[in-house]
Amino acid sequence: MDAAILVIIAVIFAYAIRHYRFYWNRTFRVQEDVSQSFAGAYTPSVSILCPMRNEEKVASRLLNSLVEMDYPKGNGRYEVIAIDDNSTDRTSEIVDEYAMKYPFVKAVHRSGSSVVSKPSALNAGLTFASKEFVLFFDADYIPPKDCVKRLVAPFTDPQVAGVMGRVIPVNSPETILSRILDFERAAGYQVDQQARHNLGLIPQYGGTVGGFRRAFLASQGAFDAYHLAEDTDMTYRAYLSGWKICYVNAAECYEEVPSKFRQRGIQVRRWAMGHNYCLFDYGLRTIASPFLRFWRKLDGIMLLGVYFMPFLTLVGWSLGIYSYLFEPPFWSPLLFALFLTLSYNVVGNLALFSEVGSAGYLDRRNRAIWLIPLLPPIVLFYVLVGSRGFIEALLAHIFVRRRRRRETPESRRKNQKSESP
Amino acid sequence: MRQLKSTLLPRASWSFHVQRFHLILGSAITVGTVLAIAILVQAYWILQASLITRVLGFARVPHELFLPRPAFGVFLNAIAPEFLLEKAVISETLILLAAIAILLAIAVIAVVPRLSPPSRILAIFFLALVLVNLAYGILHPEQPWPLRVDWLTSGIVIIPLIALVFNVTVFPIPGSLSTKLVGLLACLAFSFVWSTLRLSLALSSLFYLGAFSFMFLEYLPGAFVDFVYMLLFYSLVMRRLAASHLEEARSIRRS
Repeated sequence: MDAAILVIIAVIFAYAIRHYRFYWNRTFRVQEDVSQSFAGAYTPSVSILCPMRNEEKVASRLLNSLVEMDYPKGNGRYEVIAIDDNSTDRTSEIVDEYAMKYPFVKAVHRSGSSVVSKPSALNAGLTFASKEFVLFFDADYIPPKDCVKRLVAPFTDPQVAGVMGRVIPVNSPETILSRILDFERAAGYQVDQQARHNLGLIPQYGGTVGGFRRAFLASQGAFDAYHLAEDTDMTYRAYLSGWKICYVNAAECYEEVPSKFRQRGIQVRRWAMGHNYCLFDYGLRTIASPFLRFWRKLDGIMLLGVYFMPFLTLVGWSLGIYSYLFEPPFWSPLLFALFLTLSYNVVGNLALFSEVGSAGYLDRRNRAIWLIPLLPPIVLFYVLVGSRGFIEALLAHIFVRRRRRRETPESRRKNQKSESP
Repeated sequence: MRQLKSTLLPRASWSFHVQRFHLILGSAITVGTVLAIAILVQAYWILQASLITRVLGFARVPHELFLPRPAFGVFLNAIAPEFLLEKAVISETLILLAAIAILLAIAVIAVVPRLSPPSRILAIFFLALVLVNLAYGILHPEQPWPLRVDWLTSGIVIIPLIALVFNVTVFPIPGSLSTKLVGLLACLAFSFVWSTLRLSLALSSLFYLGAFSFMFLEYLPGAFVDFVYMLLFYSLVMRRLAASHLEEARSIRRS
C-alpha cells in the first residue's frame, strides 16, 4: 500500500519537475523561431480546410478572415475548402455563398453520413485538397491576416510534417471559467508548447490552427473517423515515422472558449477519452521507436499520460484515505497534503502555477495574474471529469475499438460514403 | 530583456534574463530558512503554543499547556508542546446528530441543479472529508489524552516550502527585489498567523465538537488552504512585478 502511494507521488512529482523545466526554458532561454525569418517570403500552395456543423453563427466570420488573408491567392496557390458536415441550419447556404463569390473557395457538403465526426469531415475535405500543404481551422476560430504565412514558414524544413499555431481566447471576460481557460491556454501554448519546441521534444498538433504536408497525410492514410483526438493521433503518427511537428508561437489565432462548466466538462471528457486512446495505441510504440531519442521518448510518454494523471490522482487519494483510516502511519496526513497540492500541478491542461504566472508576465497581462488562486478548486473538477474520461476510454478500448479494428477497410469505407462536392 | 527579430509579435519570442543576484539571495534565504527551522524548531513551537494558549483562553477552552525545555539544533528529536484538554462537553450522540445534519445539508447543496459543477464538486469534496473523518472517529474512538499535537503539518513544513517556491518561481523574474522580499516575508508572516489560528480553532473544536472535527480541521483542508494562500501571495507579487514591467516598457516606448 505504502509503496503504491509512494510510486504515485513519484510520478506526480516527475510531472511537476517536467513543468518546471518548461517554465524555466520558456521564461529565461533564447526562443527557437528561426522559421519565422521566412514568413511572407516562403509562400507555397496551401489548402485550408474548415469543417463546419451547424455553425451558422460563426461560419461567415471564419470565411471572411480566410478570404481576406494576407497570402498570395493567384496561380492557384491558395484554396479554402469549407466542409458543411451534415448541417441542419444555414451553414450550407453560407458556404455556398462564399463558394460562388470567391473562385478560391470550394464548398463540400456531407449529408446523411453514417459517421458524423470531425475526422470524417476532414477526410471528405482532404479528397478535394490539391495543394502542397493543408491547414485546418475550426469554425469558431478567427485567424488574423498573417496567420497562414506564419504557419507555412516552418515547412522550409523538409523534416517538418506538421505545424501548430498559438490559440488565444477572445471571450475571456465572459465568465470566470472563460478567464480561467484563457490562463490555461496561455500557459499551455506560450510556455508549454514553446518550451517543448525549444527543447526538441514533442510539440503537439492541436487539431486546428495548424496543418500538415500533404505528402505526409498521403503516406499516413485518412484520419481515424472514430477517433476523439485525431490531433494527438496525427502527432504520434508523425513522430513515430521519423517526422516532426513545429510549434509556431507567432502564428496567433483567436477562438471562443467554453463559458459554462457543463460545456467544459464535456470537452475535457472527450479529450481525456481521445488522448487515452492514443496512450493505449502509442505507449509501447513510443518506447520502442527507433526515431526518438531518450528525452523525446520520455516527453512522448509523459504527454500521452497527461489525461491518465487525473485517474492516478484519484487512485492516490483513495489509497491515502484507506491508509488514513485503517493503517495510519504517522505521515499519512502529509500524503494528503502532497496529493492535494502536487496534483494541481499536473492535472489536465493545468500547468505548474509558475507556468501560468510566467505566461501572464510574458503576455504582459498583469491584471489576469490575480486569478491564479482560483485554479486549485478547478483541479477537483478536472480530476473527476478526467477520471471518468479515462475509465470510459479504457472500457471503449477493450470492448469497442478492438472489435472495430477487426473490421475490414472495405466495410469501414462503406460507412463513410455519401460525401458530395 | 532579450528581444529577438520578430517585431510584429514580440511576445511570441521574447524571454528574460535570470536575475542572478536575486536568485542567489533567494537561495540563501531558503537555505537560511531551512537551517533556522532545523535549529529553532522547538523555540518556534513554544512561541506558537504560547500564542495558542491565549487564544484558547479567549475561547474559554479549559486546558493545560506543557512546554518542553528550550533547545537548539534538535529538528529530529524536537519535543512538541503538549496540550491537556478536557473531554468534549457535548455528548457523542449530539455530535453524531450534528454531523449527520451537516452531511445532509451538504448533500442537498451538492444535488441542487442550479449549482455549477465545480461548486458541486467542491461541496462533495468537503462532504467526503467529513465522512472520512467521521469514519476515522468511529474506527479510532480512543484518542490519546492528553493530545499531542502533530506540529509538523501545522506550519513547519510550509515555511521552507514557501521560501523554496518564491526562490524558484519569483526571484529569477525581472523586477524589484523589495517587492519580492516583501511578498516572501508577508507570506511567511501570514503562514505563521494562519497556522496558529488553525491550530487554535482545531483545539477549540476538539473541546466543543469532539475528536473527528479536530482531525478534519487540522489535517485535511489545512494543507489545501496552505497551498491556496501561497498561490495568493505568489499571484500578488507576480501581478505587481508584471505591472511595473509593463509600465517600464511603456515608458521606453514613449521615450
